[in-house]
Amino acid sequence: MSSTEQGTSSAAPAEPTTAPESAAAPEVPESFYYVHGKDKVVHKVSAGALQHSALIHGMISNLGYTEEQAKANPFPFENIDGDILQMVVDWCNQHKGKPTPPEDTNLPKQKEKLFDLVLAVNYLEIKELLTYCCKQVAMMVKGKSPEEIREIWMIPTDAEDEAAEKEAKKRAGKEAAGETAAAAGDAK
Amino acid sequence: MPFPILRTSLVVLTEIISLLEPNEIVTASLCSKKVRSLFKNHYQRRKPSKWRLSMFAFSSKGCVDIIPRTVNNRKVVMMARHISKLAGAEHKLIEIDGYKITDITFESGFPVLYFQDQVLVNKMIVDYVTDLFSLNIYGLVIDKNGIWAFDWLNSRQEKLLGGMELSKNSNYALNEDKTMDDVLIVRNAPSSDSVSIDFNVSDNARFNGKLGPVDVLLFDSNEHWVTYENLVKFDAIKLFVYGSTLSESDVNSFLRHWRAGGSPRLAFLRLFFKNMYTFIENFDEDLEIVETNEVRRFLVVEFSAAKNEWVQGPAEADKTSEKLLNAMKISEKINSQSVHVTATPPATSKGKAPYKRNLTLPAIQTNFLSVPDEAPGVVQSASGNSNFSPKFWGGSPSPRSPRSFSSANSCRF
Repeated sequence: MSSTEQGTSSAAPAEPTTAPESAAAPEVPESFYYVHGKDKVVHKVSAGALQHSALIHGMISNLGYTEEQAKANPFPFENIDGDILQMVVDWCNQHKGKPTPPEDTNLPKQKEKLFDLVLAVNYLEIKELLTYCCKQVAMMVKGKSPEEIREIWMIPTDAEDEAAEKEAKKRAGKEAAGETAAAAGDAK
Repeated sequence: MPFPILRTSLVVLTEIISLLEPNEIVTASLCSKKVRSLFKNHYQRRKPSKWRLSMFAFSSKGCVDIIPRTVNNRKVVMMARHISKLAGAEHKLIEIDGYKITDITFESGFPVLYFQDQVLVNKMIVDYVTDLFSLNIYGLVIDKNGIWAFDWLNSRQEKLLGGMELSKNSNYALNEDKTMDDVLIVRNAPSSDSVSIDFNVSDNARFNGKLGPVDVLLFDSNEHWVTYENLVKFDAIKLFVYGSTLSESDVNSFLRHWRAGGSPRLAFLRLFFKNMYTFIENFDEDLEIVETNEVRRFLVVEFSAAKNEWVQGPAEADKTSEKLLNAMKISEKINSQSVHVTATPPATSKGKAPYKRNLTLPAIQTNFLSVPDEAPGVVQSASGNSNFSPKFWGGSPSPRSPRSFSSANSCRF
């Protein structure tokens, strides 16, 4: 995986290179943490950038990791694809310590990955990014008819819903019958 | 690229729904029963209590619109039209809630339902929208054939209408036969936040007693109704009379009555005279009225076009008379189409024994009929006047129950 702006992404994370943002501020070394997704590629992210994620921020606060412990134990997000996690990390780094502007040009534009991105962002509890992504989803149906919306949002028709419901009932009935038969067999 | 919205979590769904405009919600709700139920549950949990639903019931069309945040954001969400208005011989029959709809279009950004029975389809769209958003109808605008809607709404919802307007329709002229209907509406409207009576009311209509209590009462060019005898009977907190033909002696008599404790709820009175050059100066001496240069500071709520929202404006320091004059000029110029007054009450103080009324009022805007057209989210003047303001219900909040100014609580009929 390619390197991020603030840190590097590699199996062996590098030393922090980011200087403190304000020269006037007292020299407090920034802490860095490590996360990896499904692809096991480790991303080095500053604590400031991770503030955006309520989930990770909570984990950091609760665990009280030192730098060394954090390096040795990257946060695993096995349910998030590597490229999606990369997008999220990039966004967090770009918005470190800054509020998100209403029209954020730095936000991911890949519509084909929007669904996965929404799931990841929701999981990581990044409120601002989630709102932006949801705006994109809402924009998709602007001026569209119900038929078009159904296609865009992959909404089944009433008939399809009814058929699926029937199918589910049938399956549940079969499973119940199977279980009864198995129980009867066991009793014999 | 498709986005399987139903596979997302409730948090995501809630966020997406909250970002959709009301007309998009209504359109999307027609995708399937499941989606409609989803939206319905969402609005049951998070009731958009600040939204104001209005029903328009005209002979040729009906619609429901929503004022979500400010009066300038009002959106038509569903419209009903007679099938004869739809070109083309072939129609696609659909069924919604057991109603067989002859055809439906979405070109305007909201569903337009075509039907044979205008009354039935008007009822259907109101039922659909109120059920979806779990809200009652707040405002009603009708023409001479829409009187049924008033009784129907009052029978279907416990909450009284916030306001009513008997509209000026381009093809509408109130005749003597409808005089009783006017009186009926006025008689039945006392619980409204606002009652407005404009020039549609026939000269033959007779005021049948006490009018009120209401918060805001507006008279536009119904000078024949605004006599001293009727003024003392009106029960309102704020009274605005446009195009007044009251004589000096009537004004003096009313002020005397008010000063003596009459019209106890009245806190604010503004008179615009029909003749813009009419200025009453000869107040009776016992009223001890003196002109003053005193500048009073009022908190004025103004509409910020840039932000598209109501904001608390700076304290008003301009001379009221100038603003009044401007407002009157505008009124004259546009022939009673739209007047947006942001002036404070006249800075007239009473001399030795001033009787003090609470004159701290936000701005009030008054517009004539705004009949929603099929243009998305646009409310147009019936006469197509270019000066027409799309703001329709935007009265001032009640001093008894302070509300955000964005609440639509002023309307007219």
